[in-house]
Amino acid sequence: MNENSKTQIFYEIAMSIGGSFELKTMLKTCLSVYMKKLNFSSAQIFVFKENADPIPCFSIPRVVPYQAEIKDCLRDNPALQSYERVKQQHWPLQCSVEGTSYQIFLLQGFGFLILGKSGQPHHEPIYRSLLEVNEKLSAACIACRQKEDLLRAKEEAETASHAKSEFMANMSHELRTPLNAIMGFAELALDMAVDPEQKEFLEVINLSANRLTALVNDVLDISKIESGKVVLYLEDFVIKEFLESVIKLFQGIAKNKNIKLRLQIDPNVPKIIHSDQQCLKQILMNLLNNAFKFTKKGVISLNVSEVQKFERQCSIQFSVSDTGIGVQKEKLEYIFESFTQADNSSTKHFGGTGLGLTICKKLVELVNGSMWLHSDEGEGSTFSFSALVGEPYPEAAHPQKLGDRPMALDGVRILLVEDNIQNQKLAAKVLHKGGAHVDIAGNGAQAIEILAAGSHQVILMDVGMPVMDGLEATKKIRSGDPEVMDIDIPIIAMTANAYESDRGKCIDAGMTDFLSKPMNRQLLFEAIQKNIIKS
Amino acid sequence: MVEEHSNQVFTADNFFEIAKAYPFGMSKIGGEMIVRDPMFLGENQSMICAGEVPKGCFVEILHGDIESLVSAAKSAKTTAKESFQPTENTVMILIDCISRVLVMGDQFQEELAAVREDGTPLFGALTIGEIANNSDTCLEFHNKTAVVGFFERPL
Repeated sequence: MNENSKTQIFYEIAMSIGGSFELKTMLKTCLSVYMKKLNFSSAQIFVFKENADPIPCFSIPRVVPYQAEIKDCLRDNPALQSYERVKQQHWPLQCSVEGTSYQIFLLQGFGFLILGKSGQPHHEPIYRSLLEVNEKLSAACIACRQKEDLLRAKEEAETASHAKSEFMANMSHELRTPLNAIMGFAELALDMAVDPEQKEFLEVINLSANRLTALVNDVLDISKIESGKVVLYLEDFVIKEFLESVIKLFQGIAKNKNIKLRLQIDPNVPKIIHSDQQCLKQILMNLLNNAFKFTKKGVISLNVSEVQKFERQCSIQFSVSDTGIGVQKEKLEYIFESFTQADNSSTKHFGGTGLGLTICKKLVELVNGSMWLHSDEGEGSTFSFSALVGEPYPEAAHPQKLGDRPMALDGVRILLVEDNIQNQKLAAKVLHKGGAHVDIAGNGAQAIEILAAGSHQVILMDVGMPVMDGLEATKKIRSGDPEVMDIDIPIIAMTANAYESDRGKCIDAGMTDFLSKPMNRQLLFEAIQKNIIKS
Repeated sequence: MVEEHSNQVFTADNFFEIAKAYPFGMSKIGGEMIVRDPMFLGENQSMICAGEVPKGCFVEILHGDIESLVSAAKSAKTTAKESFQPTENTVMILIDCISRVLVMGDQFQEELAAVREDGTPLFGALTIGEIANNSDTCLEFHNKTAVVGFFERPL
């Protein structure tokens, strides 16, 4: 056999090493090449174990003859006990069992490679050459193991981060329940208060509770997005009406601060788009809020244009520009991180949680867009984001109109099912003020008893309750329980579980609508009216 | 190289006609070659072989003619016979790769004649690829081999 062919063979062996980052796959590929090219009958890898004998990690064939003898050899060989001191030129070590010679190679920092060959061993130079190749093999083995460690660490970190988000979401939810009562009663008390000092105190309570709610909502939003629980609600809508409704919310503050507020929609933007209104609204409101927060005078403008067109989809760019304080260059890269404001002291000047932009960025990712910032300190900032929106489905020719509806619940007969006494009182007061008649049940079972008397037009149903929860009660009502007079009565869920999956559970149980707590008076009245009209 | 050696030109439909006499060889230590028969052309100037050709592997182009094929089978028989004492109950088996027979055509009879021993029954098969397992080395998949075996018929 000529030298050229030998070189080729060792080249092929060397090339077969490190083909995968998965240890077993990598070893399987390259050790079969070792064996086929050099006529070995077996190949085994043992890995070092701290304070213990090396342990078998991989072998071809799966059952190697004389495995026990080889292990004994490894254990008994005094050279292997202190293999670090065995000089380079003494490798590989040899042992022979029943006419098969085993060559033991050191894989530095990893373990041993043991190659078995029936009959005569190869000539010395072949093993010399393998020493070089095996250095590459040990490096590849270590790389595989490190990659596995990294992957494991990454998975653990992700699990921990997910658990954190879950925890935050649950905690925020627990905070919302008492907040509901604080805000509601403060509002009611404010309506009744005559003493100006009392009024002032109540206003402070109300304001603080509002701010706390905003913070809790922000944390809940982030946690929901991070734990993957946000589901987009896609629908067709008229983009101009949508944007005008957002702008309208800021006209008051613009007037107060004497800032010009402009909306500019490029003519190439489609009239009707298919996207998640709530999601876009939340991003825009956050950006506009920031703009107003950091601008003392000048102009704030919202520009909308189409940047790219695809089949049945297009990318729309929204930009909010202000003439405010701007952002320092070195702060630009941190600005989208949680709990960060460009100037840490700005929290004191301007208020806020430092979560707004993080939420925006995450929401923008949800609508398949990206977000960026252009800013000159002292000159102002332009926050832009893109969103991939669909074109409307031709059959859905009736985009939802936005706008306020009149509110009144005169004479509406409502059954309120709620176990928490404070919430009972609050909701009852609010409904009474709207002109409704309210009966109260403390749980699902009581509700069914009361329904036997009939005459209710709508049920407001809490979900989590003792004795019989809202879901079970709803199922019982819908299943035609003989005590219930009207099995088609509208049932509106009212719960602090604000996740999309909770909404699904309520609708599956047979509920007609879903409201999340803390209770919003206007939304509540709208939902009641809508459902009564429908039925 | 093959066109020059064979004095034939590859056209759209004669690939295997020429290639069957020019298989690839992959070296092992000790000089043995693992043969791979190119069967047909694949996409992007690739060739499909009857067995694995590992990535990064060197291949040599081999050539055999009918004479060399027959003599290889004959030497296989001689080697097999050396370690066997024939008796009245001896039977022979011949496993031949189909790609050898496709090269030999009708002259396959010459190989049978060269392998056959008077008075010893001969049986066998034409196969697509031959798996070698002698328990001393790693399993290997071969092309273009002729395997001759002697054994004692059970009484």
